[in-house]
Amino acid sequence: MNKKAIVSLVVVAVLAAAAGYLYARRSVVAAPQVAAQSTSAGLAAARGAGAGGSTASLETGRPAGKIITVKAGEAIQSAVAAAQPGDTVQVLPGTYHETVYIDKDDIALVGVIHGADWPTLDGERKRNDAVLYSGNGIRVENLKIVNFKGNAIMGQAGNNFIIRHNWIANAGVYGIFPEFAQNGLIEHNILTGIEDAAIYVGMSDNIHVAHNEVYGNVAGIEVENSRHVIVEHNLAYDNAGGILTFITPGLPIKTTFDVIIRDNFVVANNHKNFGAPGSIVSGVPSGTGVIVMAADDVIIENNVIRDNKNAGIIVADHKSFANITPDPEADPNPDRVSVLWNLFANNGYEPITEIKALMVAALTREGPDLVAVGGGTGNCVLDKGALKTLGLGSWASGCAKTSTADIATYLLDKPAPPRVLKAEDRGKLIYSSVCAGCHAYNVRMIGPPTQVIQAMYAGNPQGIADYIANPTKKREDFPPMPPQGHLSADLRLAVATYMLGVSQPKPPAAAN
Amino acid sequence: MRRSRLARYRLVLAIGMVACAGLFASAASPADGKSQYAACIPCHGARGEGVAATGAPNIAGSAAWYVDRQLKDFASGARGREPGDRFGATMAAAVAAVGSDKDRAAVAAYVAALPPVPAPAAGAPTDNGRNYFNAICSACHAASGRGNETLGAPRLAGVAPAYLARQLAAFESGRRGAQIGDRLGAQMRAVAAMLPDARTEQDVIAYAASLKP
Repeated sequence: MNKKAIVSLVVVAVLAAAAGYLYARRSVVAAPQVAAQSTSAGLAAARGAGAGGSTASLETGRPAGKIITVKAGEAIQSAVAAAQPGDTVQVLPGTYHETVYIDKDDIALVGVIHGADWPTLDGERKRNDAVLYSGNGIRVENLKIVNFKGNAIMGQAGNNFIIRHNWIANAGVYGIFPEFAQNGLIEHNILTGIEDAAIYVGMSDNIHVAHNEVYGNVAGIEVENSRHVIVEHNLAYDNAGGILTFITPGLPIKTTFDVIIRDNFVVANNHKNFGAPGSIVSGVPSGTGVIVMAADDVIIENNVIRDNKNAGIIVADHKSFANITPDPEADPNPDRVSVLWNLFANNGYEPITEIKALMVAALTREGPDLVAVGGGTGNCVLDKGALKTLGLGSWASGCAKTSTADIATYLLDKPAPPRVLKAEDRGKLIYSSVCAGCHAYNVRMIGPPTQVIQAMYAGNPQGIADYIANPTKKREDFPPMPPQGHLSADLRLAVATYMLGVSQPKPPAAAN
Repeated sequence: MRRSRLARYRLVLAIGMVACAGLFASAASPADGKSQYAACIPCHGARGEGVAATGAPNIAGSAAWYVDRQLKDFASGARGREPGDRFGATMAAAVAAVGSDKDRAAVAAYVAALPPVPAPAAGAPTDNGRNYFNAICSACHAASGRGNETLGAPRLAGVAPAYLARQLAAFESGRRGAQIGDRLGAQMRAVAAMLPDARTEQDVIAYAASLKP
């Protein structure tokens, strides 16, 4: 070997070592830098950036807690148990078989992705939920979550959350599901194969849903019994229904209003509806881009809505929707819905029977871009003449508010305060933040309605408390009840007692 | 060796006894129930298709566990003994003729094995009927209306609407399901009260009757 060759070898070796060092350094250091930002700082940054571009985050200099690293073969839950508020649980690539439950505040659960290697929570179709949290200030990021029977990520009354950059496939109930929450950001997630809604914002306020891709689900994105929500820059395709906003009857919170659906691609949502038969979501007609049911003050602006075979947008009241029975405490009509400028193309080419009947009545062969069925007042459409519409008799042509550009986000400028809770309210909180995710009083969401459970367990709250700790499957055509054994025995009894006392007025009798 | 031969006899005898016990303990076969079913034919029909004039529902293909439970309830007086329940009284008298638990199980197995005969349509099913059926009844009777053994809920799909209407009214009035200790009856009574009005009851029944049994 001559001198020159030795020199080049040394140079190559040094370069390789340096590259290796830099690579190793990057892999170890990069993730903690991301992780070090607190959730509330991230939310503030999202707000500052107008939410849409929120990943360009700001550092606020808040002191972050320590980083606890979890490697393949270790349990994430052990790291969560060891974590203190402010800490980050950093999950390295590998496959994890567990349910993670976070019941403390200000924890970040952040995966580290190396090339194609994700930290993966695999439910193997055996486990119910992947990540549950009841703390405030929770961040869940960079996880791949597959094959759970229940929810991928469910928040239970956790305020100020960020759920970001997760890749979720095949869940039996919901994909990303904040329930009874205030102030939260759901962005840059991919979800597919979810048997109800991929992203389900339930009974929440001030939520921002942006830059997500949802396909191959029964419902893509659903905003239900929630207020001040923006759904923007998402891609919803090949679901049975693309983007939905509802008032579902029989839930503890009775309203949905101030929802903006803008700048989304809502394309070819023609997937077969594979929701559980008899459930509300099974009543979503396949081929529908956007559905507004009973929600008020909804603005639909600047979306591309095309190739949805049933209809581009359906605006419906409770009466006109399958599997819905009335809730006397909820207004059944969609009021003040504004359809501003959107691009519609090739919708309604294969509509359901009910819409066909409307077409016959309107003497048209063209399926609708926009169809309104049932009651509702104060609704308007900006460019009525440009659209194929049905049932818009009472709708104004032209809207008072023609743009939502003045509303960057409904996220709060300060973190929402945690809920103040008296001991006697614990049952109510758990009912609202956990049970009501699947059990409505008088209709079938995921589980049997609360009033039927009341009939089965009359005078026997302990029976519910025992059952929910370790449920067995009782109903072939319902998803299995997730175990709630992480709740203490007295909490389970408190919520069972509360559930047996929930009531709702009966709807007025119809004329015979 | 006498001892071993005796042991062998004993063994054979024991095996024989176990085998016989096994036979008796095994589920009643439909064939055993055929002769017993003759007592049911005047009201329920030879095919279990039901006879509208007698008020007897179409029971063909009903789950054996459900038929067996009802026969027991009629026999014990848990069902059909309220004053004024003339259909119940008829059933109670008929069931008295069936006799043993084993006979009842055999009849139930026979009925379960009969091919279902759907009831004549009770008018076109309505959205209201579907909505309430799915919202309330499907929790136990399944959205298909095929029932749920774990929950003790019978099939409703394709069952004669006049019979369903009478039972719903009986649960509401307490003619059925109101006896102390009747847990399933109490549940059904509470759930029947959730239907808001007479029209909805008719709609739900028409919808159930329209489902494929």
